Amino acid sequence: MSWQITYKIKRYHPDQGSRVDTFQVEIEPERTVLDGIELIWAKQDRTLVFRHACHHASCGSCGLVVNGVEVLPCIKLIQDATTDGGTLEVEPLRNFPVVADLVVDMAPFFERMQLIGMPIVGPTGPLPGQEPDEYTAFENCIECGLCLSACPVVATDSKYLGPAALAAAERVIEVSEGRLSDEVLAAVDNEHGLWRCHAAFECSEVCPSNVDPAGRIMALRRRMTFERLRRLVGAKG
Amino acid sequence: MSSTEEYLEESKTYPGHKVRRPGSQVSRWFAPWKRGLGTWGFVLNRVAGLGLVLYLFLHLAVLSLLTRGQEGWDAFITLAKSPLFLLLDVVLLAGILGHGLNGLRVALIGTGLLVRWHRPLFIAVAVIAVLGLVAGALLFFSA
Amino acid sequence: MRSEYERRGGWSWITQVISGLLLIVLVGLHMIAQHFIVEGGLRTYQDVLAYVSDPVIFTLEILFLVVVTYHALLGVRSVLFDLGLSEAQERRVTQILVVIGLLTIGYGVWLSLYLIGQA
Ligand code: SF4
Repeated sequence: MSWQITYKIKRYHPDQGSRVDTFQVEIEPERTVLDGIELIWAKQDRTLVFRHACHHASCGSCGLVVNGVEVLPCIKLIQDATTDGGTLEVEPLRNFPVVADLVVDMAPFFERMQLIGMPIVGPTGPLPGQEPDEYTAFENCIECGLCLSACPVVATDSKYLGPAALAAAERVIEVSEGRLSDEVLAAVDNEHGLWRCHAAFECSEVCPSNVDPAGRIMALRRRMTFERLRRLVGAKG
Repeated sequence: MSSTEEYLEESKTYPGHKVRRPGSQVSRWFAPWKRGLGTWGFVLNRVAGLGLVLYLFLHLAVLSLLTRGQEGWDAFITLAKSPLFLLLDVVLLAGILGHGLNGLRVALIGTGLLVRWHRPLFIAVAVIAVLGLVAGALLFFSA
Repeated sequence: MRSEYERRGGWSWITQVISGLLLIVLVGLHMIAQHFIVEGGLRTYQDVLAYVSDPVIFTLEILFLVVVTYHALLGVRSVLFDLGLSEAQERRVTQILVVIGLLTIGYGVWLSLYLIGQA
């Protein structure tokens, strides 16, 4: 049984400005939002620009805002994404410069990640003393940028380091027993770094990979707070 | 909201990239629709906080009536006991309860103590605030 | 890649939490003292004069004024910093808020002393 789905897709072209295009698609509700977009591209509009690669939530390249919430359309089923059983409003990620249609420029995000210097691929496992339950490896991060799109602080402060990079920093500290280079420390322990977060927890809400960036930022904040207080007491004692 | 006009400025931190102009999206933090409890907590806390700042300065300004002696103050007291001002007192109490209790929640989360509890904590804050508000309102209007 | 950041900002968050916790106590005291300790609340001018002249009340109220002003203006600063200001604008904002804060506290202290003089 297939459903009649109305895709309302936000379009943008540097020469044409932005508009919303509406497409009707016949598709089974168990298929993904991305399947529908590919159908539109294949059958209705070859000029639609969108990005995708792996189709199973490991490349992190297809992230979109669907009906107001950040998702990876490659794993989001149509039946779960529509609230009224028929309409999908599809927009590019928020808080990034739009290149065209649904494709955004991820460079500012990747450069922040690079600054932290977390190797994307590496051996992982719970740290000594860590319960398997508490263990959320930062290595799970697929650098999709959903967390930055959902974050209300990123929305207004373009200098904010952002959830994924801060979570990466906490992970670097964990695996290196407390060490961060001075340069990274300066970017992290900064008014536009970990102290800027307002604990809205949207990053953890939308993260498709269980990184829990908000929890990591709070862990980082706890670490830095107690370090400061210790130094204060040490200086006076 | 249109997407690209905001990205007009060259990034200083990341040369070669465009960033939003500072202050071009002043109100974008105010978007709790379709968001989780954490965002509601953040937005309510900020709105209440800004309201309380406004109240603080109004309150200090009103107190300058005291320099005019007896008459100025008596006039103010009569005003302050009108129903409208009692209603404003209830709003004030709501702000204080909401901001204070939620602040406590943020402190507990931010020091990494109860991070996983942020949702139940928010609900607890809301419940206690409403109960306190009802009690306070009854007290104000019965006095 | 060179970073333009320096390490700072932690104390504003930590002191905001501490002043916030203090305020929960001080707001409570402020309200209780005004509405319940003085019989029937501060109704008349004479009530107010007697109230501020009490050394314990005076100390509490001034402490409250200082902490609430600090907390309020630091909060405003945080809201403004969220807008992604330039470094120069950030410094400006901080300077202006410090001046506003000092003026506010100065005004409160002056008003209290003036009233004590009237008593
Ligand atoms: S932390 Fe989660 S949401 Fe953010 S980039 Fe990584 S995988 Fe995506």
